[in-house]
Amino acid sequence: MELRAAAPDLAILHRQLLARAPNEGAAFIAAEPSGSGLLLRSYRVFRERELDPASSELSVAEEAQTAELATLKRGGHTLVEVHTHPGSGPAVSFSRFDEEQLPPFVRYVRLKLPKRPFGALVLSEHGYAGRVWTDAGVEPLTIGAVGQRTAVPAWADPRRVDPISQVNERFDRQIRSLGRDGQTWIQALRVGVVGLGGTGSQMVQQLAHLGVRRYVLVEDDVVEASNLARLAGATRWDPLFRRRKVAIARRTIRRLAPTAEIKCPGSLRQRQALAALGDVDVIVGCVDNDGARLVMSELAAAYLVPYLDIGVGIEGDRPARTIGGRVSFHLPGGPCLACADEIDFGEVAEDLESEALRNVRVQRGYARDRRVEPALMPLNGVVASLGMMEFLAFATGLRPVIPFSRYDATAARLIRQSVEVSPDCVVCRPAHGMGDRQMVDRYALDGRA
Amino acid sequence: MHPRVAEEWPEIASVYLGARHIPSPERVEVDIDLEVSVYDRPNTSVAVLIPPGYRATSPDGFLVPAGLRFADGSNLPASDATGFGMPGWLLVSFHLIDESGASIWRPTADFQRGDNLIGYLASTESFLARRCN
Repeated sequence: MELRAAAPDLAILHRQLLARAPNEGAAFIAAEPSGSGLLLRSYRVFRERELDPASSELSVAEEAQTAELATLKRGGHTLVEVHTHPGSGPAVSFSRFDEEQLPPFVRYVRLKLPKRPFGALVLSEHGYAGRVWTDAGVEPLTIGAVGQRTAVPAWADPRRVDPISQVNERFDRQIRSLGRDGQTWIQALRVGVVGLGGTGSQMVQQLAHLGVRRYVLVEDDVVEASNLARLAGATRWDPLFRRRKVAIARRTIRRLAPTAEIKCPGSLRQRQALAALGDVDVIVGCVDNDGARLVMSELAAAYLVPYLDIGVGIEGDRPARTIGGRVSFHLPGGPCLACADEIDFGEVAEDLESEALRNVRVQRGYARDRRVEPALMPLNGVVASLGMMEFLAFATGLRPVIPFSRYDATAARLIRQSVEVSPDCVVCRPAHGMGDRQMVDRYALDGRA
Repeated sequence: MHPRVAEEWPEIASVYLGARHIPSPERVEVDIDLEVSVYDRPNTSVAVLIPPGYRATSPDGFLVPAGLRFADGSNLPASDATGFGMPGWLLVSFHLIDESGASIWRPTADFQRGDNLIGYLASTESFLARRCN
């Protein structure tokens, strides 16, 4: 079983626990079962005074332990106990004392938190050992840190893949740019692309050329004649056949990679699509509405999935027009679009409301008019490419990701933005690491399971 | 139950005794007292539909049972709610906006430090007490 953790959370936990070295440190992780693994939601490192002074080995005082277990029970969380063995190197293992103490502690915890797994981890500076107890028995517990490549320590890297043995001529120039590891990491990713219009079609095209081989494509629109001016990969026949945009994207990928794995689970407001996106390595959002951005932000926070969002806009009337775009990368544990104040919640409410409620508002005359937005393929191309550079930074460690940047096409400027996590953020903070309990499927229009 | 409503539910249930959570369409129903000089009855149920994006997005309007009238026999400014799965109820138009039409809903991650359902229900009570003005 894997414990999936946001790279910043894991880094802070690791640092705080090992700050007591050469003494051992201990913490309780509040985890959420999700799919076949666990998600790290939060943790609490025990302070000096909460450790049992009477014990010669590391032991958490009963009072602190009981209080923390009660908190976990109230929150409906699973416990992963973690402690350190400083100086043990990468081959760290549970000590004889651990082996003696763990069985009665497992029984005690599973009595207090019934029907939930219990995990135990021992960390050193460069390695860990883990075990998880479930109703089915005991199995190894692995750690999977999620985040940009430069932030994931090698010992907690879930994307361990064998480097490609043969240098494929096709990727030769790319391997010279990103290295064999970089190319391998790109090819190992499963990417969800939501929205396959002007920017999404260009993102898919670049992903396919880069060598991504596993896709979840989310879109249910059909191609119209007015799309031909900006839909990469479209032909003049596609509107006549009322081809779906997802079919155009699939065709673009298949022409480059006939054996690529491509899942097309429908629109974002379908259960299957929401479930599939919770299981990808990165979501690329290329939508034109904040309702979809809220859904993806929440889903990304709940399942600790990195979420790259691309937006373009041409606003105002000529000649005083503002033309530009935005690239935002919500990395697990980092600031989200709502932290960056990039989501208009009034628009969200309208995007997500039921048709019946919208009809009432239309009848009463206070529904917002949604005009047809102007669009330009070159603008989409610039912003999509800026987004792809962040994708490469994330996937290969080319450089650290720049999470928020803005492209001002009018002044031909790229502006880097500084955004912090908002502790009051109503989108990413409550959802962080909540997994299935976030009930993201409530956004589905086709009913819940 | 919507996860944000679940966080607030113990508080809602302690403030509004007999509060009900109905899953479809997802809503919270409470019973409130009315001013008999204003309405044709001393109390009523009030339902608030939970938008999927709650707490980021606020509830919009509230529902009362069809048949609730002002004391003078006139109807409330409301429309039939059958269309969204609540036959026998009326949707009362009520928005948390300022004079310029901007939303005054200010939620936070911790519901106790920002706008929440209890506050929304309290606002609907005040609105009803003001004869829906």
